[in-house]
Amino acid sequence: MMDNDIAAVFLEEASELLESLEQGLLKLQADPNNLDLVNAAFRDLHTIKGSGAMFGFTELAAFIHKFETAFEKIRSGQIKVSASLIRVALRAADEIKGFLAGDAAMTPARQAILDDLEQAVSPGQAPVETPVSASDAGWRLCFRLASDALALGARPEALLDELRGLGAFNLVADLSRIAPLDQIETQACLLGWSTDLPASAREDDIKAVFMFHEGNMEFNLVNLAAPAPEAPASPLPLAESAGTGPQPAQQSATMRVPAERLDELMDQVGELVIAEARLCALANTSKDPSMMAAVEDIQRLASRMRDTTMSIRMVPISSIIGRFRRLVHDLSEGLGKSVNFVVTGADTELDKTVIERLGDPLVHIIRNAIDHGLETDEARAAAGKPDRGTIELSAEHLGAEVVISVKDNGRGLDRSKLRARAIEQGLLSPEATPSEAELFALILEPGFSTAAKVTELSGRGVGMDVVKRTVEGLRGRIVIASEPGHGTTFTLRLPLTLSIIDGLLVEVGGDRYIIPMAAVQEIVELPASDAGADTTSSFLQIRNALVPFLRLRTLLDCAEERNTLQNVIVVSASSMRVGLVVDRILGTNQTVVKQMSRLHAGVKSISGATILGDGSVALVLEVGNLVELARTDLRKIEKAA
Amino acid sequence: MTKDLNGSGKTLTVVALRLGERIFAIETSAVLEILAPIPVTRVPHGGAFAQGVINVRGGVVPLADLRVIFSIPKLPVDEDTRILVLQIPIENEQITVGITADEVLEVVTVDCDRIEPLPPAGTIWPADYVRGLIQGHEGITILPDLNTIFAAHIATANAL
Repeated sequence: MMDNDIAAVFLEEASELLESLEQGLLKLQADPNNLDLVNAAFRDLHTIKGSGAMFGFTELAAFIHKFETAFEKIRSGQIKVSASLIRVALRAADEIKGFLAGDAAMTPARQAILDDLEQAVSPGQAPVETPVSASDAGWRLCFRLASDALALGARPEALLDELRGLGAFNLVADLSRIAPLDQIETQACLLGWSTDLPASAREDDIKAVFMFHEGNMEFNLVNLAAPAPEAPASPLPLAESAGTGPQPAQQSATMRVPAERLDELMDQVGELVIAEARLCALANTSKDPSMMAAVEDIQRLASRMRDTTMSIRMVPISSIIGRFRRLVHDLSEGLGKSVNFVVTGADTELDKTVIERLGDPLVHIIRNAIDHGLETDEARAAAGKPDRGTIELSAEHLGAEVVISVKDNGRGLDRSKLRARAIEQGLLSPEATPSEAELFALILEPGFSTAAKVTELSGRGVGMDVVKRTVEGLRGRIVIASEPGHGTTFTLRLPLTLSIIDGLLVEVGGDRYIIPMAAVQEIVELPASDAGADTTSSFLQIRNALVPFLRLRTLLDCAEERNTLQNVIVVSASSMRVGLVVDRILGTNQTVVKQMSRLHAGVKSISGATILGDGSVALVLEVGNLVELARTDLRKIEKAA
Repeated sequence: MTKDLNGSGKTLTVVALRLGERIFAIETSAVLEILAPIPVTRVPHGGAFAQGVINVRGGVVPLADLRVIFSIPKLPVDEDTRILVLQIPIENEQITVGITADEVLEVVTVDCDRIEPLPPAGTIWPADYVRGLIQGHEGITILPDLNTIFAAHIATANAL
């Protein structure tokens, strides 16, 4: 059992390293001279190899070893990074994935990749960086810290990292002054180091690394272009671990926790918030001041705990963007379209569960954008557009929603073709006059595809309906906008979290509902003149602006009719302001949103349910869908106005 | 069609309950608990079958009404009314649902041999929704096929 657990940890770690490797390779393509990236890739490879061998992935270790050998040539500056090299390296990285997935044999295909890799780094084939020659040979550095340096807090490993940042290679430790074990002084720094640095490193930069040790250390920097004395005798190679293991110095302290435990914690915090609401109700009836004070404390703690727990679950969207970079790279090569992939707002945070489920839909959208949306380079040139297509992924917080959009600057959606296809598929009647948004929304229907031919990538009409379903499953919405000749934008609007929200508790027809606070803009009284009207909705004048309003009684099917002072809650939904008429406002509270069961999956106007302090269940209104539901009515009013 | 219930010698332990004038039997293994009536929150547009939700130990559980499926008139809630909380496997997932019973009668063990298929004709109930019938002294007991009933409802809910 234990072994399985450890193996699982290895697999998880390895797949993270692989992802980091892949990212590193892609970045390297953009920035081929960055030795940091080369070193990082090398470290990733080495760690996978090492722990892989430990867990019995011997074939994998052998494979990576060859991969590593090829990279060693880049690291040592013999070979320059080229696009073809990156391409092979990515393929090799894919094979590592295959190894990890359990397909452990060394197949001829894998051998072929290794051969390609070797070819790509053999000096004759790849564009070679001028080999290390006397003219620009760089620097030779030997240094040794004062023996009390460690006791004074010096961190040699950090210095070595900085040197690596400058491109240091052939880094070796000088062990000559290490005393026999029985005489060794454990606190003393007895190691010295020597290293080569590329000519590109500036002398001042190299010296700056040691600025805190200046004058208190042995420091010998020699420009190899000039005749130089020999390096210290018999340097022993520094144990590779210094350059390979994960670099503790650069990582903030983190801890790996199984996701289930976080979910459990979240559930318990949810229960706590409910119990706290009950306690608060009790305290309010008792009117005992000391009890009310204690309850206030608990409330404060519970709400902080809620925030902290939620923040633990929040992950930046950048955590899935890596996949997209690779996808864009592969598609761009496969289809021969040059693509710029631009990401903004990568640090936007979203609930872990939302992010996890968002990966696939975004892959589909991006794939479609590149395959169908972007034209070929020639077509772009002919249309007088910039020769590279652009896919822009952006994410931002907007109220209680996260808005993620994927924008391409391709040919845009062809309205007449869409329409014809929709009629052919029976999704649209020939005489229908759908709005632009309605027409575009049809491409999210199952089986709908306008691709003239089915490509390997897309065009089978599978996928976009999955996108729609997943996004709706997350209580989100998709809006498509497109301009002919200028491109298409898919906008996904998703709730920030599925678990706890601030809510406004209202009463409608004797039932209690929660309206998410984030959607609420203001609350006004419903003028008596409008109270009796039996239309579904009409207009309200708020500070010289006309705001349409909807009667929740009608929308929520409340039979009983009433009268007295009703309130209008003005919410923002689907980029418009809409008033919702309720009977009574009961107060605000923190609401633990529980998902509705699958039996109620069809009820789009409800996003979840919560348990109130008195133990009864209140439903959480999905304002956006509620307004959509009444949209046809709203449109009529707008026309009338 | 008695589906999975063939086989001599096997027995089935069931909870007998009354809906209107009809007696139904639900396997005890599916029953999590039996509750006295509690406040029900109406779900607008939830449909006649799954009109509301209830709070079961801090969880929000849909409340379904088998009377709608079997065309049995609804009786007002009285002292005999109970809510049975059930666990039903749907597509590799256990879902928790509540159903209303006008009265819970007893727990009995029946021989599977005594379970008869629904007569092909002359019944007002959808045949898919009945696993079988048990003839007894006090009349017929119906063994509803809860998996099929709930799966069908979820399918329609998703199609909306």
